[in-house]
Amino acid sequence: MNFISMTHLPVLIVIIPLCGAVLCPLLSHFSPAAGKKAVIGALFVSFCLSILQLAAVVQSGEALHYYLGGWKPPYGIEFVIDGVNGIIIVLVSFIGAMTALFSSPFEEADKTAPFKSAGYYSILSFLVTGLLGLSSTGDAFNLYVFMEIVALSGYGLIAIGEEKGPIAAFRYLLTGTIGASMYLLGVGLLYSATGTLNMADLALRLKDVDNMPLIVFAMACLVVGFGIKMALFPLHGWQPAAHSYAHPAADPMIAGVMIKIPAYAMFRFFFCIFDSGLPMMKTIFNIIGIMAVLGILYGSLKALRYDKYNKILAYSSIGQVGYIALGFAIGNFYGIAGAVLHILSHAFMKTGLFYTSAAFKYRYKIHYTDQLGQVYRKMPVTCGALVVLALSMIGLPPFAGFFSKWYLALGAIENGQYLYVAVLIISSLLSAVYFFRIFEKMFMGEKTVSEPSTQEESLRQGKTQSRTEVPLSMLIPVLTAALMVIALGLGNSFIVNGVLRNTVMGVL
Amino acid sequence: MIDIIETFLADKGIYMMTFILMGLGILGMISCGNYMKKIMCMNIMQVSIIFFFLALGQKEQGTLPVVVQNLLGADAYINPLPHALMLTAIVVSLGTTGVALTLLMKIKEIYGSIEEEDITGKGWKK
Repeated sequence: MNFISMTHLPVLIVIIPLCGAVLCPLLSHFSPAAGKKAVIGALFVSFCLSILQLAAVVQSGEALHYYLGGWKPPYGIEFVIDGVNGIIIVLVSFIGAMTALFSSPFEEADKTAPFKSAGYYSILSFLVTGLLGLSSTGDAFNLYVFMEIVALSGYGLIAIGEEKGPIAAFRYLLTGTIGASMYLLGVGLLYSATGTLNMADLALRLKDVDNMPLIVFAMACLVVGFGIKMALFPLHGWQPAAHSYAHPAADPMIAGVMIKIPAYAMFRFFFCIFDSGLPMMKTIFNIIGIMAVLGILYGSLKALRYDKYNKILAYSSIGQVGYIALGFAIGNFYGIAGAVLHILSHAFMKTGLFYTSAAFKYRYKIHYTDQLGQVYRKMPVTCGALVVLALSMIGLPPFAGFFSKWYLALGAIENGQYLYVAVLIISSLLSAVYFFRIFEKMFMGEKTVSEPSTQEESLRQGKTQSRTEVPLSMLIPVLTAALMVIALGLGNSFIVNGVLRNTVMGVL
Repeated sequence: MIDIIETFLADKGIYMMTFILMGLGILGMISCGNYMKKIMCMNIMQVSIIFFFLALGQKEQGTLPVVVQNLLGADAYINPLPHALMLTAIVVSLGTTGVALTLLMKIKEIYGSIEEEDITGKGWKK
C-alpha cells in the first residue's frame, strides 16, 4: 500500500467518487455498462480506503489532519479525521457502494435509455462525494459547499423518482435552500466575530468573544439550518414526501444517510466549536431536547396512521432523528456515544428497510402494506432481512437499535432527565405497534401477491412459481444491511470504547 | 433627530436591509401560490445573505486588495475573503436556481400548471 501514500488518504476518499461521477457520463458514450462499473468501482475503492483510514486513526489514537494544497489551517482548508467522523465516513462509503450495486437491476429494466442511467449513477456518486466531504471537512464554509452538493444531487434523485417526485423535490429545494442560507448566516455571524472559518481556530477564538447576543443568534441560525437538513421535528415538512417518492433505488441512500450527516455536523458545531461551559448552552440543549421529544412522539404516532410502506418508514425516520438530537441534548459521554451509535445503526436499519421496500416495488409493484399478504413465501430472504431490521428498529436486545437506545437511556439517567427515558420507552412501544402491523399483514394476511409484475418474467419463471426472490445484486445489499445490524449490536462496546471514547471525551 | 437616524443607518442600516430582504424572501416563499414567484423569492433571500457577507468585508477608505504600486499596510485594503466566499455562494445559488427551473418545467409537463392550487387539487395530499 505504500505507493498510495497514507498521508493523502483523507482527500483520496472524497476525490475518487468525484472522479467516478465525472467520468461516468463520458464512459457511457463508449459503452453503456462502463460508466456504471466506473462508479461502483470508485465507490468500493473509496470504501476500502476509508477502512484503512479508520484503522490508522484508531491505532494512533489522535486526529488525522490533511491540509488541502499544503496551505496551513487558519488560511487553508483542512480535512480532520477523528474517531467519530472516521467511522461515519466508513458508513457513508459502504452504504454508497451497496446502493450503487443495488441500483443496477432497476437500470437494466430500462434498456432504452443508457445515457439516462449514466446520469443516475453520476448523481448518486456526487451525492456520496458530498456526504464524504461533509463528514471529513474541518472548515465551516467548505461544509456549506459540500452540504449544497449533497442537497443538489438529492433534489435530482428525488425528482427522477415516482410521479410525484418532481414536486416533492421542488418543495425540498425551497425548504433546503432556507436551511442552507440559515447555516450560511450563522457562519457569517461567527466569522464576523472571530475572523476565521477553520473549526479548530473558531473554537479557540470564540473563547475570547463576549458578545453573547451574537453567539446566541448564530446558534439559533445553526439549529434551524441543521434542523431543516436533518428533518428535526418542527422543520421536517419536506421529509415524508421526499422520502416516499424518491427513486426507489436511491431512496435507501437518501432516507438512510442523507439526513444523518447534518446531525453529525451539528455535533461538530455544538460540542467541538462552542464552549460547553457557556451559560446559555443548557438552554439551547433543552430547546433541542424539546424538539427531539416532540419529534419522537409525533413521528411514531404519525407512522401509525399510514398504510403506505414508504410513508411509515419516512415518519419513523422523523422519530429516529429525534433520538440523535436527544443524545446531543443529553450532552454527556453516554448521550453522545448513543447518538453517534444511533447514526450508524439507524443508517443501516433504515437503508435496509428501504432496500426491502424497493425490492417489493421491483418485483411486485407493492406500495401499500395491504398488498404484502403472504409475500414471505415468494421472497423469503428479503422478508427475513425485513424482520431482523424491524426488530432492531423496535429495539430488541441482540440488534444494534437496542444498544444505541440503551446508551441514550444511560446518559439520560446519569443526568437525571427521566422524561427522556420515558419518551424512549413509549416510542419503542409505538414502533413495535407499527412494525408488528406490517408483520401481521405479511405473515397472516390473505394472499394478495399475484404473478410477477411483467409478462416476460412470468414466462421466464413459469416453472418455478414458488420462489421469486430478487436478483443477487439486490439481495447482497439487503442481506449486508441485516448482517451489519447484528454485527453493530454485537460489536457496540468496541465501537463506543475503542473508536468513539477518545474523541468524545476530548470535546466534553 | 436627523443625526440619530443617520448614525443608525450608517451603523446598522445595511444589516437592517439584509434582514428585511431575508424576511421578505421567506415570507414570499411561504405565501406565493405561483412556483415561479417562489423561486424568485428564494433568490431574494439568497441575495440578502450575500449582502450580509459583503458588508463584513467593507471598511472606510479601503481599497482593492491588489498591489498596484507599492504594498500598503493591512488597514488600507478591504477584506477580500467574504468576496471570495460569496463568489462560491453565487455559483451555488445559480446551481440551485437552475435545478429549480428544471423541476418547474417537469412539473408543468406533468400537471399542466405551476400554480399551487391547481397541483394540490390533483390529489397531492393523498
